Amino acid sequence: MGLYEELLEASKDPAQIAFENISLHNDSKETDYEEWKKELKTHKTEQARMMREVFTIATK
Amino acid sequence: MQLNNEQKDWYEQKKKDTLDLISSAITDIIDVAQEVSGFINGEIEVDHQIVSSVVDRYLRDVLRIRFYHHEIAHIDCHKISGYLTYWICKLKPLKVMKSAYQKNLKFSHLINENLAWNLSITRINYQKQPPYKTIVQNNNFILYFLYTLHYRPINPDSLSITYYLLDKKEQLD
Repeated sequence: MGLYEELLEASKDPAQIAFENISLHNDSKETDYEEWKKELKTHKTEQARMMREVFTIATK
Repeated sequence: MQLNNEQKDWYEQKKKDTLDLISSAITDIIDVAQEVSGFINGEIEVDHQIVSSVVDRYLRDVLRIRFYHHEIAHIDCHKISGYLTYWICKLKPLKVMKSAYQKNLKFSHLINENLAWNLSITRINYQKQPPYKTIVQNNNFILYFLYTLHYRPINPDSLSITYYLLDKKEQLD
Protein backbone atom coordinates (compact mmCIF):
# COMPACT_ATOMS: atom_id res chain seq x y z
CA MET A 1 0.00 0.00 0.00
CA GLY A 2 1.42 3.39 -1.00
CA LEU A 3 1.46 6.49 1.15
CA TYR A 4 -1.66 7.89 -0.52
CA GLU A 5 -3.66 4.72 0.15
CA GLU A 6 -2.41 4.65 3.76
CA LEU A 7 -3.43 8.26 4.27
CA LEU A 8 -6.80 7.60 2.69
CA GLU A 9 -7.34 4.60 4.96
CA ALA A 10 -6.29 6.57 8.05
CA SER A 11 -8.54 9.51 7.18
CA LYS A 12 -11.67 7.36 7.37
CA ASP A 13 -11.77 7.63 11.15
CA PRO A 14 -9.88 10.69 12.36
CA ALA A 15 -11.31 10.43 15.88
CA GLN A 16 -9.77 7.01 16.28
CA ILE A 17 -6.34 8.40 15.46
CA ALA A 18 -6.58 11.44 17.68
CA PHE A 19 -7.84 9.45 20.66
CA GLU A 20 -6.05 6.16 20.35
CA ASN A 21 -5.75 5.68 24.08
CA ILE A 22 -9.31 6.55 24.97
CA SER A 23 -9.00 5.72 28.66
CA LEU A 24 -6.82 8.80 29.15
CA HIS A 25 -9.72 11.02 28.14
CA ASN A 26 -12.52 9.23 29.91
CA ASP A 27 -13.60 9.39 33.52
CA SER A 28 -15.35 6.40 35.02
CA LYS A 29 -18.43 8.46 35.88
CA GLU A 30 -20.37 11.51 34.78
CA THR A 31 -19.55 14.71 36.71
CA ASP A 32 -21.53 14.74 39.93
CA TYR A 33 -22.43 18.37 40.51
CA GLU A 34 -23.69 17.75 44.04
CA GLU A 35 -20.35 16.20 45.04
CA TRP A 36 -18.52 19.03 43.33
CA LYS A 37 -20.55 21.61 45.28
CA LYS A 38 -19.90 19.76 48.53
CA GLU A 39 -16.18 19.81 47.77
CA LEU A 40 -16.36 23.56 47.18
CA LYS A 41 -17.90 24.03 50.63
CA THR A 42 -15.26 21.80 52.23
CA HIS A 43 -12.57 23.67 50.35
CA LYS A 44 -13.69 27.09 51.58
CA THR A 45 -11.61 26.96 54.78
CA GLU A 46 -8.57 25.79 52.85
CA GLN A 47 -9.21 28.52 50.30
CA ALA A 48 -9.19 31.20 53.01
CA ARG A 49 -5.99 29.82 54.54
CA MET A 50 -4.33 29.61 51.16
CA MET A 51 -5.36 33.14 50.23
CA ARG A 52 -4.04 34.50 53.49
CA GLU A 53 -0.68 32.78 53.04
CA VAL A 54 -0.32 33.21 49.30
CA PHE A 55 -1.08 36.89 49.33
CA THR A 56 1.14 37.48 52.27
CA ILE A 57 3.94 36.10 50.12
CA ALA A 58 2.75 38.27 47.22
CA THR A 59 2.95 41.51 49.15
CA LYS A 60 6.33 40.90 50.83
CA MET B 1 -23.79 24.59 16.09
CA GLN B 2 -27.02 22.66 15.41
CA LEU B 3 -27.92 20.34 18.28
CA ASN B 4 -30.12 17.27 18.04
CA ASN B 5 -32.72 16.54 20.75
CA GLU B 6 -30.40 14.35 22.81
CA GLN B 7 -27.71 17.04 22.74
CA LYS B 8 -30.21 19.80 23.57
CA ASP B 9 -31.48 17.92 26.63
CA TRP B 10 -27.94 17.24 27.76
CA TYR B 11 -26.97 20.87 27.20
CA GLU B 12 -29.94 22.36 29.06
CA GLN B 13 -29.41 20.16 32.11
CA LYS B 14 -25.66 20.80 32.20
CA LYS B 15 -26.20 24.52 31.81
CA LYS B 16 -28.46 24.61 34.87
CA ASP B 17 -26.05 22.47 36.90
CA THR B 18 -23.00 24.50 35.88
CA LEU B 19 -24.68 27.85 36.54
CA ASP B 20 -25.73 26.63 39.98
CA LEU B 21 -22.20 25.44 40.70
CA ILE B 22 -20.51 28.63 39.53
CA SER B 23 -22.98 30.75 41.53
CA SER B 24 -22.01 28.81 44.60
CA ALA B 25 -18.28 29.21 43.87
CA ILE B 26 -18.68 32.95 43.27
CA THR B 27 -20.56 33.39 46.55
CA ASP B 28 -17.77 31.56 48.36
CA ILE B 29 -14.96 33.55 46.80
CA ILE B 30 -16.66 36.84 47.61
CA ASP B 31 -17.04 35.68 51.24
CA VAL B 32 -13.37 34.73 51.39
CA ALA B 33 -12.28 37.95 49.69
CA GLN B 34 -14.19 39.94 52.29
CA GLU B 35 -12.76 37.90 55.15
CA VAL B 36 -9.15 37.79 53.96
CA SER B 37 -8.66 41.00 52.05
CA GLY B 38 -11.12 43.44 53.52
CA PHE B 39 -13.41 43.89 50.55
CA ILE B 40 -16.77 45.30 51.50
CA ASN B 41 -20.17 44.52 50.01
CA GLY B 42 -20.49 45.70 46.45
CA GLU B 43 -16.77 45.98 45.72
CA ILE B 44 -16.86 42.79 43.68
CA GLU B 45 -19.48 42.82 40.97
CA VAL B 46 -20.73 39.74 39.14
CA ASP B 47 -21.45 40.20 35.44
CA HIS B 48 -24.33 37.80 34.87
CA GLN B 49 -24.06 37.89 31.11
CA ILE B 50 -20.41 36.95 31.25
CA VAL B 51 -21.09 34.10 33.69
CA SER B 52 -23.68 32.80 31.24
CA SER B 53 -21.22 33.16 28.38
CA VAL B 54 -18.51 31.28 30.32
CA VAL B 55 -20.94 28.40 30.88
CA ASP B 56 -22.04 28.34 27.24
CA ARG B 57 -18.53 28.34 25.85
CA TYR B 58 -17.27 25.77 28.34
CA LEU B 59 -20.20 23.46 27.59
CA ARG B 60 -19.66 23.77 23.86
CA ASP B 61 -16.10 22.56 24.35
CA VAL B 62 -17.34 19.61 26.38
CA LEU B 63 -20.15 18.93 23.93
CA ARG B 64 -17.71 18.91 21.01
CA ILE B 65 -15.62 16.21 22.64
CA ARG B 66 -18.51 14.21 24.01
CA PHE B 67 -20.51 13.97 20.82
CA TYR B 68 -17.72 14.04 18.27
CA HIS B 69 -15.62 11.35 19.93
CA HIS B 70 -18.34 8.84 20.70
CA GLU B 71 -16.09 6.66 22.85
CA ILE B 72 -15.67 9.49 25.36
CA ALA B 73 -18.77 9.10 27.46
CA HIS B 74 -17.47 11.08 30.42
CA ILE B 75 -14.89 13.71 29.64
CA ASP B 76 -12.12 13.50 32.22
CA CYS B 77 -11.80 15.94 35.11
CA HIS B 78 -8.58 17.49 33.82
CA LYS B 79 -10.22 18.64 30.61
CA ILE B 80 -13.23 19.92 32.52
CA SER B 81 -10.86 21.91 34.72
CA GLY B 82 -8.77 23.10 31.78
CA TYR B 83 -11.71 24.36 29.73
CA LEU B 84 -13.45 25.98 32.68
CA THR B 85 -10.25 27.72 33.77
CA TYR B 86 -9.65 28.98 30.26
CA TRP B 87 -13.06 30.57 29.80
CA ILE B 88 -13.21 32.11 33.27
CA CYS B 89 -9.75 33.65 32.85
CA LYS B 90 -10.49 34.84 29.34
CA LEU B 91 -13.93 36.36 29.93
CA LYS B 92 -13.48 37.42 33.58
CA PRO B 93 -16.99 37.34 35.06
CA LEU B 94 -15.97 39.14 38.27
CA LYS B 95 -15.18 42.83 38.30
CA VAL B 96 -13.44 44.64 41.13
CA MET B 97 -14.75 48.15 41.71
CA LYS B 98 -12.51 51.20 41.61
CA SER B 99 -12.94 51.83 45.35
CA ALA B 100 -11.31 48.47 46.13
CA TYR B 101 -8.37 49.16 43.84
CA GLN B 102 -7.90 52.53 45.45
CA LYS B 103 -7.56 50.81 48.84
CA ASN B 104 -4.80 48.63 47.35
CA LEU B 105 -6.48 45.48 48.64
CA LYS B 106 -4.67 42.19 48.30
CA PHE B 107 -5.46 39.93 45.35
CA SER B 108 -7.83 42.39 43.63
CA HIS B 109 -6.39 41.62 40.22
CA LEU B 110 -6.41 37.82 40.61
CA ILE B 111 -10.01 37.26 41.66
CA ASN B 112 -11.13 35.54 38.44
CA GLU B 113 -8.04 33.33 38.46
CA ASN B 114 -8.84 32.35 42.03
CA LEU B 115 -12.36 31.45 41.02
CA ALA B 116 -11.04 29.26 38.21
CA TRP B 117 -8.47 27.59 40.47
CA ASN B 118 -11.05 26.78 43.16
CA LEU B 119 -13.51 25.28 40.70
CA SER B 120 -10.79 23.23 39.03
CA ILE B 121 -9.09 21.72 42.01
CA THR B 122 -12.40 20.90 43.68
CA ARG B 123 -13.51 19.10 40.50
CA ILE B 124 -10.34 17.01 40.58
CA ASN B 125 -10.37 16.55 44.34
CA TYR B 126 -13.94 15.49 44.95
CA GLN B 127 -13.33 12.00 43.62
CA LYS B 128 -10.07 11.55 45.49
CA GLN B 129 -9.61 10.09 48.93
CA PRO B 130 -7.34 11.45 51.67
CA PRO B 131 -4.34 11.84 51.91
CA TYR B 132 -4.34 12.90 48.23
CA LYS B 133 -7.25 15.23 48.70
CA THR B 134 -5.36 18.39 47.87
CA ILE B 135 -3.55 18.17 44.58
CA VAL B 136 -1.25 21.11 45.31
CA GLN B 137 -0.28 22.63 48.62
CA ASN B 138 2.73 24.68 47.64
CA ASN B 139 1.83 28.35 48.03
CA ASN B 140 4.62 29.60 45.78
CA PHE B 141 3.39 27.34 43.01
CA ILE B 142 -0.21 28.51 43.41
CA LEU B 143 0.83 32.13 43.25
CA TYR B 144 2.97 31.49 40.17
CA PHE B 145 0.10 29.58 38.55
CA LEU B 146 -2.45 32.35 39.23
CA TYR B 147 0.01 34.92 37.92
CA THR B 148 0.47 32.87 34.75
CA LEU B 149 -3.30 32.57 34.28
CA HIS B 150 -3.60 36.35 34.53
CA TYR B 151 -0.64 37.62 32.55
CA ARG B 152 0.42 34.87 30.13
CA PRO B 153 -1.27 33.44 27.05
CA ILE B 154 -3.14 30.29 28.06
CA ASN B 155 -4.72 27.47 26.14
CA PRO B 156 -7.46 25.10 27.39
CA ASP B 157 -5.71 21.92 26.30
CA SER B 158 -2.37 22.97 27.76
CA LEU B 159 -4.18 23.75 31.02
CA SER B 160 -5.77 20.28 30.90
CA ILE B 161 -2.39 18.58 30.72
CA THR B 162 -1.10 20.87 33.49
CA TYR B 163 -3.97 19.74 35.74
CA TYR B 164 -3.30 16.14 34.75
CA LEU B 165 0.34 16.48 35.81
CA LEU B 166 -0.59 18.16 39.09
CA ASP B 167 -3.11 15.44 39.81
CA LYS B 168 -0.84 12.53 38.92
CA LYS B 169 2.41 13.90 40.24
CA GLU B 170 2.64 11.29 43.00
CA GLN B 171 2.36 8.52 40.44
CA LEU B 172 4.82 10.18 38.09
CA ASP B 173 7.60 10.73 40.64
